Amino acid sequence: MRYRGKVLKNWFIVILITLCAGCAFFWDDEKDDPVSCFEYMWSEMKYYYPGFIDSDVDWDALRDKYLPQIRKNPTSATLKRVIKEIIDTLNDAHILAVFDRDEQYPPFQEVLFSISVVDEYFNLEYVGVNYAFGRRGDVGYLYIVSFGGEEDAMIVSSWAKEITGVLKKLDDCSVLIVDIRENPGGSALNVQHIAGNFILKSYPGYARHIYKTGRAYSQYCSADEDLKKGSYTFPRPVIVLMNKGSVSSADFFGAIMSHCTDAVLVGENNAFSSIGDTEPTELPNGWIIQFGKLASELFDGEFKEGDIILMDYEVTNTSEEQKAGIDTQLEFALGLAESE
Amino acid sequence: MKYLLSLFPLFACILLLNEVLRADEKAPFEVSASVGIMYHTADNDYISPLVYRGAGPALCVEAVWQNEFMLLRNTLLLSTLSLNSNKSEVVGTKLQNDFVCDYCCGVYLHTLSGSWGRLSMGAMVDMHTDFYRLTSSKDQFSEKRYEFGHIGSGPALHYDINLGRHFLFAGFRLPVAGYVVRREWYLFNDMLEKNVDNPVEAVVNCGEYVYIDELIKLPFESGYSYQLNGNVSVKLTYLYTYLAYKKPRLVKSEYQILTCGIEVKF
Repeated sequence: MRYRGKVLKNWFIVILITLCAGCAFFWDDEKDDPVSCFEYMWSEMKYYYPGFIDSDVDWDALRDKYLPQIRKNPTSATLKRVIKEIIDTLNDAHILAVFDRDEQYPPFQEVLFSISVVDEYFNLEYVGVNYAFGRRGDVGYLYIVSFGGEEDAMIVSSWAKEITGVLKKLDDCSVLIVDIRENPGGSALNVQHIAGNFILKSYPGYARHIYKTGRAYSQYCSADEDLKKGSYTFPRPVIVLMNKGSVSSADFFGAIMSHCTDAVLVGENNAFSSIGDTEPTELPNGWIIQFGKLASELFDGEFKEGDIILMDYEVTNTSEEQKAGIDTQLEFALGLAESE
Repeated sequence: MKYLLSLFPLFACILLLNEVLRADEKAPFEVSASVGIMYHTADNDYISPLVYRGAGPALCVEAVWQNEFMLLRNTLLLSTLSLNSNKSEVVGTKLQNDFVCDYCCGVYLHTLSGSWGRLSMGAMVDMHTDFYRLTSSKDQFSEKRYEFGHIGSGPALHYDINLGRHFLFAGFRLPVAGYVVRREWYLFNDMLEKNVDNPVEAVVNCGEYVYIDELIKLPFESGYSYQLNGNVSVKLTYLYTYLAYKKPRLVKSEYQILTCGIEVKF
């Protein structure tokens, strides 16, 4: 009886000690001082960011420039300033830094577009959350809110397939306005599927995707992707509306329409932002830098990260006009449509 | 030499086969279901430079078949939990481990026994998955994912002692060879995301054989059960697992699970 009690007692002591003394108790975070945070951010971007391949940006030189500044004045304010300057240098619309719950860089931009203003021009029919369409006399209008797809799905979204039916409904219009203003992008497959309805032939290898495979700048791989003509082709002239809020795969759509069709581009000249598939990178001090890990070049390098998608007609909305319910870009497009 | 480790389960099964054939058909069969808590620590250099810790619910189901010669144990552990770091409050980051699944099938021979208890040695097949997502309170952020699956095999030990209505047990296993699947497409050459969306293709394209020098998993289990009547016992189990994998970035995880449940003998 005494033996049994002793065994039981020792057994529970062993369990209790093991429970309390997991080796992870001693695991520690990386150092969170500004110098360590900068070094961490620099090395992570060197490892994963494909924007330094065939780029004018010398990432090593940026380290040589900024590291002494942070060492000289190792404060969070210095680190924040340096990160902002680096983001400005890289000029990549996908890069975002968050310093706390209320502060991010680049900061939120004023949006000079409102679909409720557009609704005054067209009696829009909303279908789901991804698109809306309508007509005003002979002019058709299709608004694509985003090219977002189902999470993690590498298939064309059902809403993108529905667009073909919408275009068939609108193909008795004299002109179609496709509005991708403030479109944050999404799935390139959705872009390709929708764009397939406007092109007259397929473009094998239209996109070259590049991604890093290791720390060295030379460690990367690439793969080509095709743009296939759809089973249906929209038969009327098309006007594409873009603004600076059209980013990522929305830029793909603008580039495809510019390169492969006779579509007229109206709006704001737009920097092609193609380093997508963004992921957050947490720094040791808890800040987050988000950047893309997959770079894309379209049409044999005609469109690369940072290249400008030139509008055929550069037109800008103003805040005052938006408040007054006037959409200057849309009115310009309507004027063009009526002159067609 | 390392490849010979892959053959370990095969040799073990051949050795054990003779004992399995001699199994007593009236051998007791035990099933237990336990619920409890898992405390998980993740030091995942791919996900974050910070160490994430947190607790969540755990469910453990075990089926045991034994006779005087051998012991066959199947253990399944499931959990899902949310982890925080020391800096989580800065921008509201959390590390979700959506699906922790740990399964082990072990075949043991009763090799040593005496008044001090019974020690069984054998071989096991062990499986483990972790589906991590680094999320933030900021809407603009996408998630960072790390999906990991491992199936391995190696030697296993099981010890138990019967003290009247009290029953103590402990177990240890060591996967020495296995196969790891990770879905991070850009970590390997010639691999694009679209090629690994299909789970079967992911297993084939994103996997690699690993050995104990690359992946270390150390599961240790101990517990106590008290027999309420002839067939039913209450059971308290503590399971500690350390998992480390160094490709391409060092990932260390520790799982501590404490469960309490009912065990029924048939």
